[in-house]
Amino acid sequence: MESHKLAMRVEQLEAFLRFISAAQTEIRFSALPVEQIVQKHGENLEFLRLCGENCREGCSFITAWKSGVNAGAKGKGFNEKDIILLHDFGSEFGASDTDGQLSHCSLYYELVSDRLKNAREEKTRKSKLYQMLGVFSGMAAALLLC
Amino acid sequence: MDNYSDPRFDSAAKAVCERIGKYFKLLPRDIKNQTQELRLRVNKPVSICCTGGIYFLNYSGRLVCYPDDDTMIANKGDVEECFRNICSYSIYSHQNEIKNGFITLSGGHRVGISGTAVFHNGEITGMRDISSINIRIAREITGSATELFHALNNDISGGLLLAGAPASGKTTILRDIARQLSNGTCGDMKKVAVIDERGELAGTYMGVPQNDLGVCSDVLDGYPKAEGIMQAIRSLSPEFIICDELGGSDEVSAVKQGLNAGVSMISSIHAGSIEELMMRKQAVSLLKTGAFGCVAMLNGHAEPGKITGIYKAGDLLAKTDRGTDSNLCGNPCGIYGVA
Repeated sequence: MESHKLAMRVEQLEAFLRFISAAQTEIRFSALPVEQIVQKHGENLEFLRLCGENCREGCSFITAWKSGVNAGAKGKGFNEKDIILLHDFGSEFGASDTDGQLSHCSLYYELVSDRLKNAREEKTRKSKLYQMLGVFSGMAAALLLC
Repeated sequence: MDNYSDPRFDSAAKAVCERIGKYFKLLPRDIKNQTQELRLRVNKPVSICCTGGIYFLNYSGRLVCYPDDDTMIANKGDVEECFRNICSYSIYSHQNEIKNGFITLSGGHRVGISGTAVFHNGEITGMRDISSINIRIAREITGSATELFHALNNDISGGLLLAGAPASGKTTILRDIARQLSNGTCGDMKKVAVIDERGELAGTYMGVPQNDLGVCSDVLDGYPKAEGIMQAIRSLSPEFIICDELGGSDEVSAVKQGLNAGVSMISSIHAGSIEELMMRKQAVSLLKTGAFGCVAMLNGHAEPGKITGIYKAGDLLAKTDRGTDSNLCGNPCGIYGVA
């Protein structure tokens, strides 16, 4: 179970990294509004999908992002610190000119990359541990039953 | 429809921050109907401009003629929230508009913004510290150009220049002219190209015009007028080209090209009176192109859409050349009289 959570976190962070990269491209080349960027590139992440839905229902982007993250990021692999990072990203997303937004995306790309690196290391280290624990527990249970 | 809803007002008021917007929402429909502008200024009373004058919003949700202790004050946060709302929380996608000082909302409502200019290499590249916001409500009044068509015997193929002060209804009439020409309300259906540089005429949102410009209208959204005119001539074979607020020298030469291509031009220009119009160099240059057979003068913001006189361009130019600007052709309302 714990091992699965670690794998999910890696997947979610990878997906968010891909989203930031797509957002950067859209901002640079098509100046697409944030609402449409989320709707176009956010299908793989539950919180982005919810944010897009909230926007379609008429919420302001800030409100849509906040409620999307609150409802769709918890329990999907992101930890508490990741969620704070997602809120921070959303609060400034779209709030400046093109150069400002490209810098904003680059900064968060780096921050998420660091987290992804840690998540991968944690996954490799701990998932082996959890697997071993599982094997030993199984063996112990078998011995006890015998 | 209840006593509080006016779709045009409500769609424009959506741009206002939540704290103030909820009061706008509760204004009675007859007030909403008359409203021309919603204005927010940092640390100043929230006001609305109606046909009858300027009113201030108070915390009871009522409008008063003079600000008092109960008048609602817009703070910096309100204006900033409003600004981000107007930009759909995507300031980078409105950079050019911000540089020019206005943003067009879905529905064609134009939002004027003021703040501190940001310079780069001697050119204005943006704006910071937004200090005031003016939301102009775009009205779509079906039939607002009918009087004009009647006065001109349904023939505006010689070109028409609408002149009027700000908020006199120029854009509303242009929109209805486009609709009537392309729907064939006043004769055969015409192919109309609308050059909508500021997005006010069609109010295009995500490629879909929000205002009805008729069945045979093509909209060139966001094109600078001169380039839009050339593009329309090259690719759309229009019979009429309609655009708002002409004036630049490149636009004058584009109008000439349009004339050579056999297209009728319909446009608007800012001018408080016919005398003021003829004192403006760019207006005279436009009339001299021969693309505008007539000039229709609008009354002003007190009676939006009301035409005070229609003049033949040739006569106006002749009077200007002779250096006299009074008593045009013996009739203060022009050749055609008041429409």
